[in-house]
Amino acid sequence: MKILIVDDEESILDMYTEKLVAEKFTVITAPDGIAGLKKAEEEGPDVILLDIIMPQVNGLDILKQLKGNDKTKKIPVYLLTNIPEGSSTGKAKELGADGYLLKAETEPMQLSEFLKELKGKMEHKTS
Amino acid sequence: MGQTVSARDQKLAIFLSKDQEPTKKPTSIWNRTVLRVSEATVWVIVIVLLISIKVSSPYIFDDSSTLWFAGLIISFALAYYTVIYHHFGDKQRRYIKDIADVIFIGILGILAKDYSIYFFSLYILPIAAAALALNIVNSLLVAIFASIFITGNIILNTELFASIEPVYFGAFQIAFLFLLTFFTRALALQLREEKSQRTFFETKLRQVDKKLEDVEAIEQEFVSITTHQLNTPLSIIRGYASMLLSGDAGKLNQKQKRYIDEIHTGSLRLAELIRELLSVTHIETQIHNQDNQPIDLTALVQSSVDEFKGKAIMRSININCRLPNKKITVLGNQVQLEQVLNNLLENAVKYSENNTNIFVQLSPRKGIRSEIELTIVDEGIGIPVKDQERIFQRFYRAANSKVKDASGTGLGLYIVKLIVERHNGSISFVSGEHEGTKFTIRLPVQSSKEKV
Repeated sequence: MKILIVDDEESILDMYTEKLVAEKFTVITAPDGIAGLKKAEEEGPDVILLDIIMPQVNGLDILKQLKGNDKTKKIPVYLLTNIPEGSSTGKAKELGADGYLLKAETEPMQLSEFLKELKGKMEHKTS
Repeated sequence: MGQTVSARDQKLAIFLSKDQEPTKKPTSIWNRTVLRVSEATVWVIVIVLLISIKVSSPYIFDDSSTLWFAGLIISFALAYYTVIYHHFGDKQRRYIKDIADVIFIGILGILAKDYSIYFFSLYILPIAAAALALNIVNSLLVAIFASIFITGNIILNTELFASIEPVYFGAFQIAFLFLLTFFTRALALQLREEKSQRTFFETKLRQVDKKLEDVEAIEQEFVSITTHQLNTPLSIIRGYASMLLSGDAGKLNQKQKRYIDEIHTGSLRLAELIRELLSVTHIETQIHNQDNQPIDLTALVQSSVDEFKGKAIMRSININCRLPNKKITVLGNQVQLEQVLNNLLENAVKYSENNTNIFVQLSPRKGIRSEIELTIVDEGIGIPVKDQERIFQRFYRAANSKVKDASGTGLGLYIVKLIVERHNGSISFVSGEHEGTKFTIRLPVQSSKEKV
């Protein structure tokens, strides 16, 4: 399963990547939204984990573009952010985000478990 | 709720203090004096007239005096009518008034017939004066209609001044009319002033409301960003500590493990604190109650209890739940009410000894059918008497709670109270040390008849 993580915080990218790779996931990372868009298009990940607050282009705009692009609109996008649940996350759901994870409450292990579960669900759906 | 209201009042006060009240026009004292003087004079004249008619004339109900009274009454009616009317002024009523004015003048003309018609036509003056002070277009329309009507009457009635002593009546009437004119005009001016003040405050209130909404949005935004800033380093600490603990970076010795465990536990507590602070701020700053969804409380209690059963069973605590067989609908915010239940159940489990019971019951309040009562009873350590007064305070934790369990932010019950009060409910408790605690929440229910 190929995961794309878009986050401007390097320590966080490293942290999650290390754990997910150890748990046998394929992980691609992007340090900002533009790079994220590009990688989503080129690499076709199975899941995108997207931060909201990022310099230059906001995560919500990236989400809009991802969902507006034929190549990427079917990829499930989960918000992995430290913005508390509220207006921004509500807006993200309207824009087509599939779910929301608060970074401070999601330890690498928990993220990996979440993705394993998701993987199971996705395989179940396709089979 | 008290907290929130006072916060809002403070904001209001600060906002209002920046603006001054509308400056009163210097004419207002003059107006008021004219008003009082002319009002008094008018009444004096009326009384004098009544007495003089009574004394001098044996025929109280002769034609001329009847006309006089009709004229007086109609003029007063018109004057007051104008005043009362414009006090509540809105468009439709104003049209009705214009029509009514014309009808009044018409009746006046018919009554006057061939008698002192000229004088009665002067009754247009007070109406015109009042109307001029309020709305020129309307007043002109009224005056024109009335003039046409009365002029028509004059032309039709050739026998003018047929009644006796028209000169005296005429003199009285002219004096009276002038006073009445002053009177109505002064009244009208005063009303206009009051109206402008009212409009000023209404506009101000609307602005304040709008501003408060903005403040609310800004506050929420601020909290959101601050939480983000706090959460980011926290998630790094928590994440790496958890990885170290699970041995991702190799095996740890006892001491290393203990230290990292402390870091991890600390970060968990911090996360909880941030989460609770966030929800407190969210509820406190939320001035406008946007969420008024009907919620099935029975189902909500059931699901919350189910969630805690696992935790309780691990410590051999039995949660007994008694719920009504039907839906109980309350209006409010689902997430917040869930939080109330979670906080109370968590406390109940946390402060219960092993092998004890927790009782959860939801039932209509005895005698008051519009209220539902939720009780959560535990057989735990209880709340010491000296702490009982303060348990709903922010960051307050009872002394024995710290002994029992190191974690906890002291915000749980504060949040519970805040949310319950936001839902127009109340919370109370009885507790004895080592005897357990009973929390009672009362909430207004939505009866099945008034479904949303």
